[in-house]
Amino acid sequence: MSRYFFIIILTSLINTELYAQPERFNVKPAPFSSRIYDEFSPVFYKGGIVFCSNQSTNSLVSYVDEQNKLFKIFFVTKKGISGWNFPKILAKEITTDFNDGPVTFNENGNIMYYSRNSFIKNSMRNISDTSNKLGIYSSSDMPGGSGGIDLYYCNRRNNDWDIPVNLGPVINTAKNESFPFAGKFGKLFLASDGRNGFGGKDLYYTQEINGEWIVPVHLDSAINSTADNFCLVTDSTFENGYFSTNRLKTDDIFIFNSAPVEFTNCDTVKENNYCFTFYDKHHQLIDTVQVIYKWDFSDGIIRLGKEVRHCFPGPGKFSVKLSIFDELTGDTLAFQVNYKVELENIEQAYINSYNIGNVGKPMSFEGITRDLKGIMITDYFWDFGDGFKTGGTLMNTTFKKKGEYMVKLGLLAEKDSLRVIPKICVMKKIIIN
Amino acid sequence: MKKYICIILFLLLAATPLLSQSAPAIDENIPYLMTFGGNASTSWGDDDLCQIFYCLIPSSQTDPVYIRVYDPDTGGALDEPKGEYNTITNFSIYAGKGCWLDTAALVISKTGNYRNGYLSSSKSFGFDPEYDKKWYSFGPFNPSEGEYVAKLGGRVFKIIAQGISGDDGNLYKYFLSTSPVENIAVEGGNLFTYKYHLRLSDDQQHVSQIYPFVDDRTISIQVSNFDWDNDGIIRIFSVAKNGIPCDVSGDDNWIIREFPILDEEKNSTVEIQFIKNKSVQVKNNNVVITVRNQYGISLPFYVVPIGGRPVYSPKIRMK
Repeated sequence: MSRYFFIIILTSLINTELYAQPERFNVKPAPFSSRIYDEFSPVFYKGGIVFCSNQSTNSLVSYVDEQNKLFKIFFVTKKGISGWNFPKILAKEITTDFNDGPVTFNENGNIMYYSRNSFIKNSMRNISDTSNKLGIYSSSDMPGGSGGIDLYYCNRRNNDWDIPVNLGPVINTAKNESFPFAGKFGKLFLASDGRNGFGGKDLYYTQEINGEWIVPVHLDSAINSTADNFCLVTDSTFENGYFSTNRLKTDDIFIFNSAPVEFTNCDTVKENNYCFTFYDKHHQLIDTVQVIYKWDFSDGIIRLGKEVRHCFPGPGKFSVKLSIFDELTGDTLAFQVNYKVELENIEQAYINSYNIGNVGKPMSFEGITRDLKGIMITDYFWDFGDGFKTGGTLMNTTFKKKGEYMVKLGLLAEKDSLRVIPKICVMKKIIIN
Repeated sequence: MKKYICIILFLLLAATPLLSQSAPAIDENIPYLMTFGGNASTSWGDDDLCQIFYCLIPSSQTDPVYIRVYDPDTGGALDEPKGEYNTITNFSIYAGKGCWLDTAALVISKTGNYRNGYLSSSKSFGFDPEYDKKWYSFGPFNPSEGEYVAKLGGRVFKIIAQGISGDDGNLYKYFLSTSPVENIAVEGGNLFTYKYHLRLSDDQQHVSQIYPFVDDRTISIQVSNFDWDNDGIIRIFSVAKNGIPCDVSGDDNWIIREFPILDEEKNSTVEIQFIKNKSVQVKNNNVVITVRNQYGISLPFYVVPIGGRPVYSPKIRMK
């Protein structure tokens, strides 16, 4: 009995920690998504949504065609501020007797990529999505992957496609990774059933930081569930979007909206110092000694003086050698006494930018997080004087008025061992002339 | 604690390569020791007309030893005449209990019980060409006659050179030897004094140095010099002092300069360096030097520096 009691208590504690933080997102079924048909793979198109569904093409009749549950490509547009029109077939020209879709568009919306096959959804492996790059991300079970379905990137060059490149073991698992969506600021959203999620397919995102993909980050518990959750698309700020889920038995498209992220207690960015004055503490006692101090900084620079100032190029390990000569006798009092210098940057997030800018001229801001040890940053938020908004590592902004601005960089990191998302915030004063 | 101090000092002594027991030592680059006649004026550079040296003989030495004096007479070319030579200097060797007392360091003048111990040998020298520029050997002495001092790791004999009469300067040297007829060093032996009466070279290029030992109780030292006569510079070197200038005395007076002692300087040797005046030649300069700790206790000058000559070790810092 006590054993079961212990298990119950433990389970209760885990759940408490798991949901200790408030949800970042609110989710609800999209009005255009039916409860009896399957709808999935929404993509943005001309202010509306294009998606796949096996619902009837006759909007006035609702019935289940058990014999002909082929998927077709639908397009739905907004009606007013919050309403939706009835979904329509996107284009009869591409509607076939096969499963059509999912689809994706290039950034300009004038090229559509889509898949077509004779199988039902679970076998539609060539789902792809545009990225900011020239190529597309796609999923495939082609040989040579990590197992199951893997994600690939396929570059386009001179109207020709390169061989797809597997995104690697950081992203792909022995099971299935699919439904990629390349968001702005380098985020790549994907569905995976090969990780420790809530069960079934869960949604994750990853991004390239310093040229390497980070381990996919599990999305908020409101978006993920114990059912399958897949095919997420979002606006540029990751504040609003759509995803597919079968948590209500059939595949449905859900809308999500993010609660605003707030950062308090922002620390002022501290400048790293690589310039120091070197001295001999023993010599400080009495300063009328007739000796010559020769400092060799091992970088070709030799400085003479009892106190010398030297600037190192940046963080790293350096060697300083001091020799001391007696001016009166010419004797060597000390020869190449070694002093090791190890410089580390301040452990902080850093905003790399000019301190002064001009009205109407774009300014570049880079969020540098490599000096934060043991923390994997997952989200960047920037406040250029108008509140925090989702962003990336590199941002460009234009200030419209003269004055002093306190530019803030808010960061969310991977959940810690207590399932808490660490928040980091730094700020930097910018003067606009 | 006292036990550990003894062990440390003993280890330092044992670790020091003692190749020579002459006083002054070759490395000191000092020409001669100096004692003036009993009627001499202190303005000649000898403040008390008496020089006390100690011979340290390691416990391992069991064969007889000799204390040899070079040019013990006062006359001839080496010594410093003040008119006709008329000076008598007495050299006395003391042994036995009380020869070296723990309070010996306090005895820096010829007042007090500086002749403690028993007189083992004594001889006075006047103007005697027989001993001019020649070695005279006191001894043999059985090392076991010396006072055993555990702190120093051996037995101690005391040599007192005292001006009895006259006013000339007697310049001489000592050697602690195993032979009465030649200078053969006692292995592990040393000579030390608490008050150094010395004659500087007339050569303006000369640099001389002496080596007081700073124990672990010392937090500051007072370096005193007598009758320096504007003969250049006195500097202090140690592991933490890189030639700090010391105040210098004028004619017939003492001057004292205090220096703090850092932790890294404790239980180590300090070097007091004398650099002759290069612009004005000062001849026949006789000087007396003492170094006292913060309690006023004199520190010993070893002719063979304990632990070797101090090597300055800069403490590099950045700010």
